[in-house]
Formats: sequence, C-alpha cells, structure tokens
Amino acid sequence: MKRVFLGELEEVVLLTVAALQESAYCASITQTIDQQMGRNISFPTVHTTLQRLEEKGFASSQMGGATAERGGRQKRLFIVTAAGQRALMECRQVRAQLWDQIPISVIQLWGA
Amino acid sequence: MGSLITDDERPPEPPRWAVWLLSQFCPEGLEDELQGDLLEMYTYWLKTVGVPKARWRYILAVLRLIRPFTWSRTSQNNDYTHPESLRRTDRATFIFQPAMLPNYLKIAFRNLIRNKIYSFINVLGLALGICVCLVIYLIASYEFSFDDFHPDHDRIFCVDAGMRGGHWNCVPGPMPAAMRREITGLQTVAAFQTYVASVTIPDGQNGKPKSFDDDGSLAIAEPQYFDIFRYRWLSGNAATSLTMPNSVVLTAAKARKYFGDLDPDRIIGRTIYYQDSLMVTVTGVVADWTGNSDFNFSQWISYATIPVSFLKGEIPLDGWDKIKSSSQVMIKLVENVKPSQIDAQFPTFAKRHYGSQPAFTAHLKPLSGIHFHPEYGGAGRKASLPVSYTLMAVAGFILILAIVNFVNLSTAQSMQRAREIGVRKVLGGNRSGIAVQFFSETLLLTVAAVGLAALMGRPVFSVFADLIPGGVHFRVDGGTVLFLLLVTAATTLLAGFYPAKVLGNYQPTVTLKGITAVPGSGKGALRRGLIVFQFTISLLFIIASFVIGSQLRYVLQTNLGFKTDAIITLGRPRDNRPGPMGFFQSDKIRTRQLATEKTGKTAVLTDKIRQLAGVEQVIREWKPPIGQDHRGFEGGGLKNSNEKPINISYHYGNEDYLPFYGMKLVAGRNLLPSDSTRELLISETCAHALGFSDVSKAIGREVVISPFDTYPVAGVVADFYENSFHQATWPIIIRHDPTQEATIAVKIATKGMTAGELKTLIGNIEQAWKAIFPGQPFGYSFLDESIANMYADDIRTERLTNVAMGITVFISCLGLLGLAIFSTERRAREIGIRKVLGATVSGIMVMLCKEIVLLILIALLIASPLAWYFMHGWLQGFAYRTALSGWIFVAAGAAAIGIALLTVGFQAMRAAMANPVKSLRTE
Repeated sequence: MKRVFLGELEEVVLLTVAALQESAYCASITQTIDQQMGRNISFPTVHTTLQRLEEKGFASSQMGGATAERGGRQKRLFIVTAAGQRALMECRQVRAQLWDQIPISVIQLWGA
Repeated sequence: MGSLITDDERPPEPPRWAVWLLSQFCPEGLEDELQGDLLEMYTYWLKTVGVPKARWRYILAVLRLIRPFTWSRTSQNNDYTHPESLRRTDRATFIFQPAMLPNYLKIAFRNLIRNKIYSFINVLGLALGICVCLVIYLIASYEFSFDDFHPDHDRIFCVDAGMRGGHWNCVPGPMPAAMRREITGLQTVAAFQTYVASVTIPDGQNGKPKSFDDDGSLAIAEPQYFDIFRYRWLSGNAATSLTMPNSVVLTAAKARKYFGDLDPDRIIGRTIYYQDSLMVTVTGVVADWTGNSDFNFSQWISYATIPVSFLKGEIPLDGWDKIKSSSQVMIKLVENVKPSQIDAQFPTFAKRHYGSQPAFTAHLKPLSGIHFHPEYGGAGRKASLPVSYTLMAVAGFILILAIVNFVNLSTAQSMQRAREIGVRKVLGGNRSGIAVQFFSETLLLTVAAVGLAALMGRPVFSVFADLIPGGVHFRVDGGTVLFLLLVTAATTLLAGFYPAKVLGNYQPTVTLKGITAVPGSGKGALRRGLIVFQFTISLLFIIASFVIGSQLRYVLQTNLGFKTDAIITLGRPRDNRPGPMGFFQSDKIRTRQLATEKTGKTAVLTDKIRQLAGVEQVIREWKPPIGQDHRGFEGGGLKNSNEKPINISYHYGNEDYLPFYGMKLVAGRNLLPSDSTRELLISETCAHALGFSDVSKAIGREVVISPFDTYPVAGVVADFYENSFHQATWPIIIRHDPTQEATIAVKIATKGMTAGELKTLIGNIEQAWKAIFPGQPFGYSFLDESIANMYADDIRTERLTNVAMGITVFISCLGLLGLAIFSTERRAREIGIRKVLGATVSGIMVMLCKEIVLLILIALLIASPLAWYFMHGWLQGFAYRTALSGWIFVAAGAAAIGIALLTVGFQAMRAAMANPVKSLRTE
C-alpha cells in the first residue's frame, strides 16, 4: 500500500516547482515544461494541478511581486513543502529501486 | 524583458472579451494571478506559435478557468485524509454505476406509489403536454411533407403573375406558349387548366351509364406536365398519351372507380363523357402518388382537346387581357439556371405583350413553398406557415408548462427526501450517483407519460377531427417513435436537471441533523418565478381566446344591412377561395355565352319554384349581397368628372332585390320593374365616394361603371357589407341585367314549417332543377350558413385557441394544486398553532391564498402587453374589428385568479378548518 499518491503530471509539476526555486509560478512552470520537456501541457491544467498539490499539502504558496510584463498583476509563488519533498524523494526512490532490479546486462543491451 | 516598448511595436493584445470574461467569472480571489499569468503566457505563445494560435489558446484557457467550468476551489479546506477510493470517485463527477440502477428504480417506484397525488399530477400533466406535442408533430410533418418527393423538385417552379405586384393566382392564356418561345433557361413548360365537369361512363357494369359528380380532380394538361411531375405508367406513356385531342389519362385509383377492377391495358381505349358532351378516350393509366401533393389531380384531358371542342369558348387561349383563374403553368429550369435569371427576363416579356408601360409583373415561386402560399399556383388545400409555426410554439410551451410542474413539485418535495440523500451520501453515494438516481426517477415518470400520451393519441384525433387537416392520420411509424424518444430524452433532461442538481448539493451533515430548511431558499423564488411563467402563458391564451371570441361575435352578430334568415341560394356551393380580383374584361365573354343559354331556362325555373308550397319569394340575382365572389371596376366616377376614379363593386338584381333582402332605401326610388331600363342604385358609401355629402343630391347623376357604360342613379341604398369582415366593402352599385342573373335565391316561409316539411320543399326544388338542368348537379346553401362559412378559418382559430387555453390553464392549475396540497400539509402545524392562538378560518384562508393572487397579478402585468401585441396583429387581418378594450385584460386576470383560487381554495379551506388538536398532536 502506497502512502502518498502523486500522479505523473503532479510529479512533473512538483519537480518543476522544485527546479525553479524562487521563481516558480504558474506561467513560468508551464513555459518550463513546454521548453524543457517538449510537452504541451495547457495552462489551465497546470493551474489546476498546482491547486491540487497545494490542497494535498505538497506545495504551499504566497503572493509575490508584480512585473510590468504581466500588467502589474501579482503572481502566486509556489514552494515545495516538507511533505512534497518527501513525496518527490519517495518517487525517485521507488524508481531507483525498479531501475536497480533491471539486470545490468539488460541495460547494457539497451545502450548498445 | 520589461524593456520600453513603443506603440508601434506593441504586440497584439489578447481578445478583450476574453479578458473581460475572466475578470467577471474568475474564481474568487484568483483574478490577479490568473490575469497576470495568462498575459505572460500570451506573450510567450506569441513568440512560439504566432498570433492566431496564441489568441486561440488564450480563449481556451480563459474558458477553462472561469466559473462554472473551472476545477479551482476557492476554499482550500478539503480534507484529503479519506481513503483513496473515495478521492478518486470524487474527481469523476458523472460516473455511472450500473450496480446501483436496480436500487434507483426500486426507490423511484416506491416514491411514485407513496406520493400518488404528485405522481398523478406529474404524469397527467406531462402526458397532456406530450400528447399535444405528438399531435402537432404529426400535423407539422404532414404539412411540411408536401411536394418534396418529385425528382428535381428544386428545379420546378410555378409562375406568380399579377398586376402591380398583386396576385392573379393564374396566368393569361397565351403566356405558357409565349414563355416557351421567348424566355431562355427553361427546360420544360407545362400549361394546364383546372376544370370542373361531371363525368359519365357510357357502358357501366350492367350496360347502364354511370355518372359521377365533379370532385375537383380534373385538369386539362399539356403532355409536358408528365415531364415535370413524374408518374409510373401502368399503361401508355408520358411522351405520347396526351398529344392527341380527346384523350385522357387516369390514375389507377380513378380508373378503378370508373371501370372497376380491370387490367390497366384493358382500360385503354374506353370512352368517358365529360359534361355530357365532351367525348374522350382513355390513353394512359398511371400509378397514384404515395406522397402528399398539392397537385392531386387524377384525370388529365389533353390540352389539344381545347381548340377542337366547346372548351374553346370557355378557355380563352389567346388574348392577353383575358385572365381566367383556371389557367396555370408549371416550369422546370435547365440545370444550374437560377430563378432570378428568369425573373430578370419578365420585364421585357411584359413590355412585349402589355405595351411600353406594363403593369403586368411575374415571378417564379419554388414548388416547395406552394403548400404554404395561397397566392400562387396549385389547386389543393393550402396551409399557413405562421399558423404552423404558432402551433409548434404552442406545443413547446404546453410541454414546458408540464415540465415546470414537475420541477416545482419535485423541488418542493425534495426537502422530504433530504434525509434519504444524507444517508446515501454518508454511505458513499456521491453527487453524480444522486443525480443519476433522480434522472432515472424522472425517466420513469416520463416514460409513463409518453405511454399515456401515445394511448391518448387516437381518441384525441377523433375528438378534434375537425381541427386536424384531413390527410393527417394517427400512426406509429419510425418517425413518430423517434420523435417520442426525442421528447422523452428532452423532457427527462429538462425536468430532471434542476431537482438532481439541488438534491445532489445537500450536505449530509446538515440534513441528517433534521434541518430540512436548507439555507439558500432561493428555490422558493424559483418556484414563484415558474408559477408566474406558467400563468403568463395561460393568461396569454385566455386573453387571446377572449379577443378572438369577441371579434367573432362582432363579425357574426353585426347587422349586415340585409336579412339573411330563411334564404336559400341555389347552385353549386361556391369555392371559398378568393378568385382573381375584379377585372372588367376577365370573364365577360364566357359569362355572356353561358348567360344567353342559361337565362331563359333560369327564368322558367324561377317561375316553377315560385309555385311551390312554402316558398315566399324567389328572385334571380348574380350572387347574394355577401360572398367571396367579387366583380368590379377600378375606374368608376361621375360622368365627365376629372376626380380620382373610385373602385366600384357590381351587384345585379331587379326591383325585387331590395325588398327580398330587406335593404333600406335612403334616397330616391327603387329600380323600375322592366328588363330594359338603364338605371342603377348606389350605396351610401358610393354616394359619399362620388363626392355627395348629401346623398339625395346623387339622384339622377350619371355614373361611369365601365369603360363603355354610364348609368343614371335612381336611388341610394343604406350601406351593407358585401364581403367577409376581412376585406373592406367597396362602394356598391346595384343594376338590373337579366343576362348576369343566373343564380336563384329562394325565401322560405319559415313560420310553422317543420324540418320534415323543409326537406320536402328542398326535394321539390331539386326536382324542378333536375327537370330544367338535367345534366347539372343540384346544390343549395342557406345564406346564414354560407356567411358563417366565410369565417371557417377564424372559427377554427377560435377553437384551437380555446383548446390551447383549456390545456394551459388545466396544466397550470394542476401544478398549483400540487403545490397547494404540499404547502398546506407542511404548514399544518403552523396553522394549528395560529388557530390555537385565535386566528380565524378566513384569516388563514387569506394567508394561504394571497401569494397566489399576487403572483397571478404579476403574470397579468407581463402577459398583457404581449397579448396586446399579438392580438392587435391578429385584428389587423380584419377590415372591420372590435376594439381591444381594457376590460378584456381585467376579465382575463379575474378569470385566472378565480380559477386559481378555486384550485387552491379547497385545500386552503380544508387546512383552515382542520382541528388544530390533530395537527399539533403529530410527532
């Protein structure tokens, strides 16, 4: 039985939040995912996912500064909470375990 | 970033309406960040995907982020400590769980049984609404099915010809041939004439001749007719059957009627006599059409017959100024030719045949519209497009009223079910499950109602047979079933949506505590609004039916200016469709010719009838004072006057005409008893129109009544109505011309005459008729009945409105009754306490009823202007009409309130009279 449940999309978004550090807000996250992962995830989807992450306690937010390019509007900046950090690490660990179980010879075959 | 941007380089802004939408419907507290983020995203998209896509993405994002589509929650207090399974189902709101279905149906069924009254009201109301929809659907699908089955029917047109934009309903005799020669773009031109004739089959079954009266199915047609309207030929063929003179083509049904069950090939060559003198040979038999058509002829005589028979005299095929209403033409365009291209050729066409300043106009009208346009082509019964649309709207409204009842009753009842929903939710039922449950309950009721409606269909058809067009039959075919399924689906969704939503939103924690008065009693407002809506519709119909009723009373009871009782007009009952409006030359030749042979005989018949017992007076006339027939002259005036010419309408009769109809002479004297006097009577209006304010001054002046004739005025007659009240009466002249007076009017001594004696008398008249006109069918009509017949359409409208009023009022009151039962039940304890504290029965009655009175008054305020608008428009169709007085609206309001109080009053009284001890002891 898994204790935490982190969907694949949620994981991607949360990782991006962690990667962007202080400048993680919805628009920047969407653009980063678009540029770096080449995945076209729509803005509303990211927005909803962020809200859900916050509800689950994996992320927290506070209102941050406004800039001219966004019409003087404030932005909501996200950071990863302790629970979020744990969840991310757990995800990574689970994956690492699975990676470890693949025989090295097989991986070498893939690489070849 | 953040650099200075000059105006020129400023990137295009996101769509302003989308920005506005987001600002209005953004989830609470999120506007700032969303607007900012989206603006940033927009600039990003501009750079990466270009302007159109950026705008598109912006709009999509806004639409997904605004309420009610957003998933955003403004309260952040959702608790995620529930087991995972619950969370997952919560995310998918409309998961359908088949396992629960039997349970839903069982509960639904139990509920229906427990609340018998509500179920009954709901099912009855819905069934009534659906039944109305079904009947009107059948009528509409019938009316819209006309002439849509012909091959290339979009290339078939008829010609709407007339003078100065008026409609003749026919074309000049030589026009089809001329069109064929002079107008390009026509593939086929087919002229045909409608004709009325009796039929004789010389060698019937026992060697005796068989006769048939005319049934309106005879046409005289060119062979091209069958090029345009395709038939399956059982014998003969389209190309040759109608080319020779004196040949006729029959449909299989007609052939069976005339010759019995013979093989079509054996019918070829048989002889038929039309009008006892036109001998024709059958040259073809075609299969009957199965589709509905306005061109429902079933016997076609060849056009080539006209020049070689007596028809030559009756049907003028030369001469552009002789307009005969039987003359019709159908055309088929060459492929890819537009009707406007033909229309463009008509002005030159008109110039060629009507001189340099032609008043003649013509247009093509498509076949598909013919059924709805009485003013052009076709011989069949016409339907009215506005009436058809109105009927559909009425059906829709009645169904909506029934749905409103359903919504009202189920939301009112929902409080009682709050606990059930609470328990369901606690046990893991989610919002979607509860919605599915209520939809299935609605579905159950709707299916019951649809079943009931289908059962009601046949009886309804027989009860309202006279309101339903003849060709419509109640039948359950694929289309009907599909329609019923659609209605079921629509009704279920409309009626179930609101209750399902409201009930799904109940919070278990609140309802299980027993607090049923859920906050947000906006439902009460909704219910009141729906009641107002229902009564607005009902009041519209009540007012409409009052207005139509009063106009019809006015029309039928106004003194017409002459006596109408006990007068019989002999001859065939006349066609009620208005013919071409009076053209002086129109039928002159034909009437003269007919008249000369008929006048003598008619005089003999008149004398014979005069001698019958029970006949008070007999006169010869052209037509009764009132009727659809109209002949006149648009250039009337005083002799040698240069005033603007006036319209005058002709009536013919001798010195007996006035006393026979009891018309009053206001100046001068009656016509003199002589067949050769040249004098006339004019109506008061005519005298005024000629410029005499004192009508007696007109006596002796010469009046121009045709391009060739002037007559001196002998007297002035009090005004009388010469047409239905839909059309204004023209200035009238009455003149004696024996050749025109071929109709006989008989006044019966009604005093002391029984129905049996009347029958004998008419039998005697018929015998006299047969003796003198052996070949012609005998027909008669009572003048007062034929006057009422002129308003057959209006009387039908009145009946339809009354039925619609009855149904809407009934459904509205049904709903009101349900609500009244419900609210008095719920307020039983309150009423008990009030009574214990000293409230009177009347006080409680007022308390229970005043809200409804208030709601109906609001409905009256909304309905009155709407009703005024519609009824004002309807009354414009009459030249003579009643005023739309305020009392009609007051009376309608009073009637609605009265009916509503009767409905509610009984319940209120029962509640008010109940013993408070009983109601207070419950619980």
